[in-house]
Amino acid sequence: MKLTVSPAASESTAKRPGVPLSADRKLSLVLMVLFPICTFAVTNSFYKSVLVLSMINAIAAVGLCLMLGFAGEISIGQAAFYGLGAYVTAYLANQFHIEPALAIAAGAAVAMTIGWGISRPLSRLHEHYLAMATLAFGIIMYIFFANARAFTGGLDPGASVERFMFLGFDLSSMERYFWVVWVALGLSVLVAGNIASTQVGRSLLAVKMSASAAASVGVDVVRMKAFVFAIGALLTGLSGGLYAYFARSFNAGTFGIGYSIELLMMVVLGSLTRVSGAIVGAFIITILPVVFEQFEDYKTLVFGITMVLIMKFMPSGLVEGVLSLGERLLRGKRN
Amino acid sequence: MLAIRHVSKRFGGLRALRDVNIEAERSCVTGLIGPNGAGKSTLMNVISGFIGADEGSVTVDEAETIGLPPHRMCASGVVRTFQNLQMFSDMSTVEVVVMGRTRHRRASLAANLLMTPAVRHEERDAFLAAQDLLVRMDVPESFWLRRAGDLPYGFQRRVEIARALATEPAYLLLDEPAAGLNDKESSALGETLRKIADGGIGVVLIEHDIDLVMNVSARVFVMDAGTVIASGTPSEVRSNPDVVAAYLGEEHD
Repeated sequence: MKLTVSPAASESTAKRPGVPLSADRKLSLVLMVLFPICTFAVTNSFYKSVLVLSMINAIAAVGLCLMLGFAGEISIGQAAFYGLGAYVTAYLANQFHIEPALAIAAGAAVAMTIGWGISRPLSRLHEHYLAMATLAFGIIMYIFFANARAFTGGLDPGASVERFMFLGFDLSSMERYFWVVWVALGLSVLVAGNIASTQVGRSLLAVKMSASAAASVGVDVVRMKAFVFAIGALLTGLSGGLYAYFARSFNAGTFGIGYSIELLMMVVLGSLTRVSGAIVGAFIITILPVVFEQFEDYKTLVFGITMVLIMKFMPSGLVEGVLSLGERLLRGKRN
Repeated sequence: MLAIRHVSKRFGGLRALRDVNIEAERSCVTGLIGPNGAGKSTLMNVISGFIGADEGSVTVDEAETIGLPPHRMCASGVVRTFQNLQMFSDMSTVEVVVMGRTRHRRASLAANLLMTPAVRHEERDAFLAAQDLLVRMDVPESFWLRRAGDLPYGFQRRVEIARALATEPAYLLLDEPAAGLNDKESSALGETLRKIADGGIGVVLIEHDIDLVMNVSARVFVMDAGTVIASGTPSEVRSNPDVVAAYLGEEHD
């Protein structure tokens, strides 16, 4: 193509190659530093364990953030992948006595395979229909978890695992297990951040904004949807495997619709289009019920009102809301 | 040559396309006009792989492409724009054009997840190429990092064309690119299209703006009721009685 380029314009094209390190990445980094600071700051072992649980939830939330926030693919069945991760981990660890880290990896891989598998029949569904289909998938898997007792232990007695050992070291105490989960979250955030800042993330966004335009410039829409289902299921499965060693003993009740909805709340509350938002959302949804414990009978009410207020005043999520609030304050000072 | 031969398409009882034959050469603009409901957009969807045809063939430089999905059509060198602007609104303007580089990206999915140096390199190249195209399409630099959906409408149209050009197509199909543009913008668009064609690309222009089509096209095809009723140079078409009838509804034999 030989179109004339004016000299003034061609000079300016050298600037800004690529996107700078995003605000999202910086914020994720800050959050990853804050978690260890928090765990050193709190002395109560219960709070320490809540902190670990919030990081486990954050991994699953990051997965859903990629699916819903980037690709626009809603899933109300994430608890199924969480459960798959947990049960496959427990099963492999108990039956074959393999290294716990390997069992967790295998659990995540199984969840990923199933996520990829269901994405094919789901790829033609949109919005409400996709929500219904994933909801149904979540319910079916819950029924499976509750009834396939030979594999899962059902609701009673449930499943249990040994202590978390890594290369012969006992890392099962909450202080040590914190670092196991921290590393897993760090890796998840790194990969999700890489997706967000390269062509893959851009393609996911393109599929959400206009699937037909994305296809017309060469994006294989079905493949991208399969990919995001796979990576969402992988991260949620990883989170489930980590949960197995966190709880040590659990039953199918954990993997019901309630958890899928909770994950959805985390992502919507934090920020749909920022990986760091998923971490913030997971932290708040996990911590708030504990903080509101003092309201006793009213805790569900207070929790509900808090959610409504946040969504009312910060509809695009806490992270966006706080950032724009800060920006407004700064501008106010300057004037 | 982009050749559409004997293409037919039915929607239930409606014969949207009846034995349509159209040819578009590289390095020139081919116009496609016709009243509303003539089947222009359906034909566009068939060529670009969004809907299948019941019969017929579409060949791109002699290679059969009918039945390929849209992203494969893009890989065969055919790219399109949309009648109702399909912008990636929440992306920055430059990123929208970077999306057009998709088919030229070589890095694997795994490499992207790890953000290897090769991926960074590819990203930088894609941004540079996109910036070049924005310059060529006269999109001011102050717009490049703005949210694409916030740009004035006329500029979004240009960004859409820049995105299509970023795929380095052999044929560029434009579905009513002048819709919503004023006279000045429209004639500027005509100038741009001619330049694009001079660069070796075959431009297929579907338009309601007859003046624009007649000014820039080397050859014009006229469709009515799902079939091609006339073709030729702009002046031949202008004097064709069938065309006059289709547009003005005159009776004739």
